[in-house]
Amino acid sequence: MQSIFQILKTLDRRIIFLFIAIAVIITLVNPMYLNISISKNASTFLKALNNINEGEAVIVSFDYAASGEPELKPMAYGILYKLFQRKAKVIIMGFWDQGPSLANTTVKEVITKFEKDNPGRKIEYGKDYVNLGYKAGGFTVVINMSKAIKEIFTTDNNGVAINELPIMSKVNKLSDIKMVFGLTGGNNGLLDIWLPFARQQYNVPIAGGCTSVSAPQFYQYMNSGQLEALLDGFKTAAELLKAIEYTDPVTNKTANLLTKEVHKIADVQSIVHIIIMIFIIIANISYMYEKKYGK
Amino acid sequence: MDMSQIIGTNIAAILTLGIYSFLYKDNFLYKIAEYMFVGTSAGYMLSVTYNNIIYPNVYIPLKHGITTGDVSEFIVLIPTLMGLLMLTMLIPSLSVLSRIPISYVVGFGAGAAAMASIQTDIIPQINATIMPVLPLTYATFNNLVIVIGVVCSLIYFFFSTEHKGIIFGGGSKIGILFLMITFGAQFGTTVMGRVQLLINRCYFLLGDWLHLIQ
Repeated sequence: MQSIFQILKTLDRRIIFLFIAIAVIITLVNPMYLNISISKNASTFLKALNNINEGEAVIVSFDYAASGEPELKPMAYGILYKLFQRKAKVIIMGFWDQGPSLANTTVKEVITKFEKDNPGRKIEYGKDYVNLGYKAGGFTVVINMSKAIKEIFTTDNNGVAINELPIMSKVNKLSDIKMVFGLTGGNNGLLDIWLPFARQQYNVPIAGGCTSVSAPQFYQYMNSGQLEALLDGFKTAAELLKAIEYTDPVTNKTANLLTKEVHKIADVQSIVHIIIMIFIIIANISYMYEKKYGK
Repeated sequence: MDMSQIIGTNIAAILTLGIYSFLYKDNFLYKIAEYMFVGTSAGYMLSVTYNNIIYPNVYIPLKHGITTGDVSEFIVLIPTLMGLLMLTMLIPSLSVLSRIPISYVVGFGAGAAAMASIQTDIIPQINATIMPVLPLTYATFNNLVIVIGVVCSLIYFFFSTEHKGIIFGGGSKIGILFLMITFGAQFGTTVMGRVQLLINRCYFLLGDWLHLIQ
């Protein structure tokens, strides 16, 4: 027994990496499609999205870079799809330089899917959505947006004058925004710009999504009611996609946005977590054995 | 898939494998991938800064001011000068000048953030902790857990009195328990986030590159 624990104690970490890699590859190639149940966080988020009515303007802030995309892109996909379903006016912007560029890719995918699912509905740039692009300056941008959005954003991401865009005709101040959806990959986003300034100083409701790494920092703001809703990582993003339903125009049956790709990735996450838990348990048993019986 | 996508996918796959090869040991391929990442990031950031900040906020107003004679446009020279003074940090004999823009930024930031911090983190968070705990039901039990967690964690960080007796000794021990649970949750979510990045890269390698995923 002692020799087993001795081996485990000195186990090369590369063997653990190898186990994880094998688990990821096998599960991706042979997915199990484990059940995904919708948590309270995902259903609260869907409720917040359902509270947006036709013609109301919302901001979707893409405050992340490529490293945050694996977790935040599924959230953005679900949020944009639902907002188009609700016929909201979607204003995209970002406090991270890569954010609005990543938004362009996501919004194109969403529109393709949405128009396929909803024959007869056409999502038009400048009328249904706009990308205002990246803006440096952090909270000073929000402070200025509270006075005049069109002064701080004179053009959109493509250089088109903001006054020429019909979507912006009734949007002058931050108070004209029904809700801000902030997708944040770290600092400079939901927690340090939108929440303290847009929510606390200008009373604009805030909901958002964050990466799993930063999720514990956000829970307290859900508990206090400062955040309307929160998606805390890929798991709740997958749940939101499952919760968003539409009528399939071909089969005429109710379908959801949870794709096989997202489902496969959720499977891998579950399996890898089980393996990590097993390693943690083994390491703790080894530690306790050593503590009790000595070296 | 056109030729540019094929080349792009192959380069991305080789660079991904190069970065992951560090898990085995440091090597030449990892170094190349690392330097390319740093170089392209810096180049991209420079381009974004010029196109989004310097060009619309400095170049355009100055050009407009020169062509039309509108003196008010030259006000952008003040923040531009402040920005340039930041660069004096690189010249030891002039580095003292960099304190001017730094003090302006720190002063403005502290002033604006102080009120926001009180309104966001202090008052609403204290308010959210003052909750009814009686009569004891499922909902009030949650409140009780939060109240005990906050009070005991604060006791743990109260260093003016020795942690002995029921209130300070027992309270700090319960506080440690809550802190351990918090650290455990943070570790768990960190693992979840990092694993997600790994899965995404593996999905790219097996799907987009090797076409092994249906």
